[in-house]
Amino acid sequence: MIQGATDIFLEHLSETAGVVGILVLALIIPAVLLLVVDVGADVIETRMSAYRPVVYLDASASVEDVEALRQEIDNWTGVDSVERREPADAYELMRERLGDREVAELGLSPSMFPYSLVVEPQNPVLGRIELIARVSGLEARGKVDSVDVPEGRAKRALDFFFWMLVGTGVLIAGCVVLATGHLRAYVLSLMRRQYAEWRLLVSFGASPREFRRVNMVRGVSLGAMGGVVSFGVLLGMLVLWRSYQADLVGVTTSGSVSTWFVIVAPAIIGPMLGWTAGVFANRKRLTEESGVDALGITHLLERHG
Amino acid sequence: MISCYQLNVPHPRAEAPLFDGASFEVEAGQWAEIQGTSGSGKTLLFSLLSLRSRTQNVKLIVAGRNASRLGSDGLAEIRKRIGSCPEEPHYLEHRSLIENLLLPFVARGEHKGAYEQVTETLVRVGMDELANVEMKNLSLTERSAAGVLRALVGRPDVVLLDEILGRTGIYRGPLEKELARVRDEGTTVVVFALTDPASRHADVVFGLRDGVITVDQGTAARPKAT
Repeated sequence: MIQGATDIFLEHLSETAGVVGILVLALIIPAVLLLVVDVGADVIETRMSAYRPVVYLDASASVEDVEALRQEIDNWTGVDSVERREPADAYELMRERLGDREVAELGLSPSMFPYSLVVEPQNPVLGRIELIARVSGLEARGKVDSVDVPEGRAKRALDFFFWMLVGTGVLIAGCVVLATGHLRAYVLSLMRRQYAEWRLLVSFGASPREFRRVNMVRGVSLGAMGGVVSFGVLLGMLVLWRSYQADLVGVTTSGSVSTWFVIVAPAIIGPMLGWTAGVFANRKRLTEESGVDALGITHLLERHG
Repeated sequence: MISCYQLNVPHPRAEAPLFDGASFEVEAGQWAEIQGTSGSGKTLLFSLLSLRSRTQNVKLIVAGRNASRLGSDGLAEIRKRIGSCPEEPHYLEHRSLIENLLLPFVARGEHKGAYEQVTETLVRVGMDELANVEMKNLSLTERSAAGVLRALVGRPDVVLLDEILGRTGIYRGPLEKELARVRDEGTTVVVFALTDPASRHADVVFGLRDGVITVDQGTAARPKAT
C-alpha cells in the first residue's frame, strides 16, 4: 500500500478506538471474573476456616449432661477447646442480632434458649473435615437436639464456585469468539475501503501474499493495542482493590501468582487474537476470477463480496 | 517479447468472429502500434496482453513467458514487468498525482529511488507543477497523460497503452519522447489506437481488421502465418 499498514488507523480513529474498546471489554470481563473467583475462593476459605461447629442440646438436658458432653468433646483429637454457651448468653446474642423490640415482639426469653457447645478446632482448615463428621454424628445422641456444621454451606459454596467457573469458561469462550470475529470484520472492512488501491496494485503486479501480510500486521496491531490497554486497566483495578479490599469484604488476601497471571495475560492474548483475526480475514478473497463468459473470456480482477 | 498465436474469439453480435486465428509478434525493444476501428477488438486484445483477462483460445507470450498457463502468483510476477494504461484509467482520486505514479513501484516492491524517478519524469514532460495536486482536480488531458506516465515509470519490460495517447493534448509530444526513451533502453512499447496517423517513433504498425492482424508499416517484425 501507499501508506504503512497501520497508518489507516489514524484515518479512521474513532472506529479504530471503538474496535479496540470492544476488544478491551472482551479481555477485561473474563479477567475480572477470574480474579473474582480467585478472591472469592480466598474469602470463602478464610471464613470457613473461622467457622466453628456448634452442638445444640435438647431443652431437657441438665447442666451435668452439658458438662459431660463438653468434656467428652474436649478430649477428642483435633479439638482445641469447647466453649459452653449458657441460655442467657444465647439470649444476649439474639438480642444483639435482632434488637430488643424484635425480641420482645417474638416473646423470647432466656429460658427458651438451649445450652450449646462451640467447638474450636486445633487446625481450622484441615482438621475441620474429620471434626465436622464427628460432630455431625452427635445428632444421634439423645440429649443433642441439633448440630451446626459447615457441611451444607461448604457444599453450596463449592457448587456456587463450580458453576461460576463453568460460567466464566463459557464467557471466556464467547469473548474470544466475539473479539476475534469483530477484529476480523474490521480488518476486512479496512481492506474493502482500500479496494481501489488494492486493485490498482494487483494490476501492476502486487501479489496476494503482500495483502495477507498487511492484514496480519493490522490484526496483530489492533490486538496489541487492546492487550496493552486491558493490562493497564486491570493493573489499576488491582491497585484500587488492594486499597479497599478489607473495607469491602472484611478480609485481606495477598496477591497470588495466579492473580498476576490474569493481569498480564491480556497483553499476550490480545496480539494472539489479532493474529487469529488476520488469519481468518485472509481467508476472504476480495477478488476472484469471473466465470468464462460467452466469448470464452475470463476476467481476472472481478470484485468478490 | 510479445507473441500472440492463433487468437480466436467469437463476436458477441455478429456471425463473423471478432478474432479469427489472429497472430502477431513484437520484438523486444520495439515500438508497435496496433490500429483498428471502433469495435475491432483492440480493448479486448489490450486486456489479454495486460493480463486483466485470459482465454484458452490463444497462446500468449508476454514479457517472454507463456501467460496462458500461469496461476495467480505467476501472473503477478509477469504483471510486475508490464506497465499498462487502459482507455479509462482508474486513480486514487483523493491522492496526489505523484502518489498515483508511485503505485507501480509499491506493487513491485521497488521503493528505493522511486520518488526521485517519478519527479524527474514529471519534470521532463512538464507536469512537475501538478505533482501534489489531487487527481480529482486534474483535467481530462492531465489525467490521460498521468495514465501514460504511470505505465512507463519504473522501466517495465513492456508498456501497453489503450487509445489514450490521442487524448493527452499538449503533453503528447513529451510523452512520446519519454516512450521513445524507454523503448531505446529496451522496453517494448505497444500502443493501441484508432486509424490515426501512427507515431513517428513507431517501428511497426499492425492493422486489426476482420479478426486478423497484419503488418501495415515497418519491417522489423512479421506476423505469424494465420
